Parts: sequence; C-alpha cells; structure tokens
Amino acid sequence: MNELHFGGRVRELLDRRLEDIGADRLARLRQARERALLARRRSAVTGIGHALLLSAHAGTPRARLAVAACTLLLAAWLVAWWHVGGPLDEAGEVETALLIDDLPVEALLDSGFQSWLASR
Amino acid sequence: MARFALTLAATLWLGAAAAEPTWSELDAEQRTVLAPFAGEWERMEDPQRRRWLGFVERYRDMSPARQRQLQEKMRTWAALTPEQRLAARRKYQEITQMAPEERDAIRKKWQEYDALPEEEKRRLRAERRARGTSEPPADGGPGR
Repeated sequence: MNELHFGGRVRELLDRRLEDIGADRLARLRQARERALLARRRSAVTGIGHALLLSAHAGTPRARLAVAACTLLLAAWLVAWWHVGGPLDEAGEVETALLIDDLPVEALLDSGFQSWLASR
Repeated sequence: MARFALTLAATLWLGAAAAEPTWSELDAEQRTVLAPFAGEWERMEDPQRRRWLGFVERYRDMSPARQRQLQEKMRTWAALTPEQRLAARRKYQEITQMAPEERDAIRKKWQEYDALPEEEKRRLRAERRARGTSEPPADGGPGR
C-alpha cells in the first residue's frame, strides 16, 4: 500500500465515520459550537472591560492614556472583524454557491446518478 | 480620560454585541425570500444570518423566473437533513474543483439521467447501494 493509497483509505474511513453521526448528535455538536462561539465573544468583551479598568489604575497619566488607547484600538478592531468578516462560514459559502448554481440539489444526492456517471 | 474610554468602549461593545435580526425583525421582502428557512432562522449563527441577508440583496436583482427557480431549490434544501446537506456540500465542492468543461458535462449528463425512466433510476440506485458506497441515504433526494 503506497502513501497515496493509504491517505485515500484514511480519508474514506474518516468520511464514513462522520456520516455515521446521527442527526441528534449533529444538532448537539452544533449547539455546543454555538455556545463556544458565544463564550469566545463574551470573553473578548470582558477582556476589553478589564483592560479599561486597569488603565484607570495605571501609574502616570501618560501610561493610563496609552493603555486606554491600545484597548480602544483593540476593541475597534474586534468590532470591525465581527461585522465585516466574523467567524468563517465556509459551509455557508458553499451552500449559497450551490443554491445559485444551475445544477439541481438532487444531482448531488441521487446515488443512481452517481452510479450512472460511473458507468459512462 | 478613563470615563471617556469606558463610554466609547461601551458603545463599541453594544455595536459588536448587536446580533443579526430575529425572524420577526426581518422586513416583509426578507421574510418572503427566506421563507424556506423560517423554521431554522432562530438557530442560525450571526454569520449565517448575515450571509442570507446578503443573498436577499442578490435575489432582488434576479429575473422572476430565476427567483422562482431559486425558491424551489431553497425549499428542497430546507427539507434536507444535516447529513444530506453535508453530503451535498461535499459533492458540490468536488464538482467545483473540476475543470469547467467537466462541470458542464456533469450538468448535461444530469439532464440525460433525469430523462431516464423512473424504473431505470431505481435500478441504478439499487446498484449503487449493493456496491456498499458511503453515499448518504438520500436516494433521489427529497420529493423524488
């Protein structure tokens, strides 16, 4: 078994395992992901709040100004990131392209079509 | 200075924390276009909602015939299980990685296949199942 064949076999097995996951488990995984994203968002905002509070206690006025300015820059960047791009929605991008494409959804799922294609 | 910074940060925070609209906050046009996804809208993450709202903008510029075609496709998509959606996305990604002429050939072949008698399609599906492939249990997709 060469490396390429081995890699292909591993990929096939991993794909099969993923397809074995039931709908309820997929839904639970999705909920967990949503919770994790929300937690990440909250922790980022909390971090900015802490940094601003720290800036109020920093030594000299110049140091306070510097910490506050850096924190605000970070906050502005986070806001821009979230609103312009945000977390990657790769599956969604594929989904939109797939829907806009002329090829019907059935063509992607009909196992008879796959069988027919293979026989051509 | 600290008070000013806190005020500004709070404003930014409120801006960042503002989630994409709920279903009831969508306007009439958005609700009409996205009707097939009404049931899952509240479960969608913000980037997904944003993407669909962008989709509505593109939809607006399409011809009525194209809009009808898309509505039909969206209803089909909304009726799929998560496993079927995953399988369809994967298959579509495989197709998009092909050369343009190969992609066109697949579209033409689908039309040929679609014109086959239903009995022949059933035979082909059974043949595929008998070979024990890892295809999703979607045979023929919804409504077929």
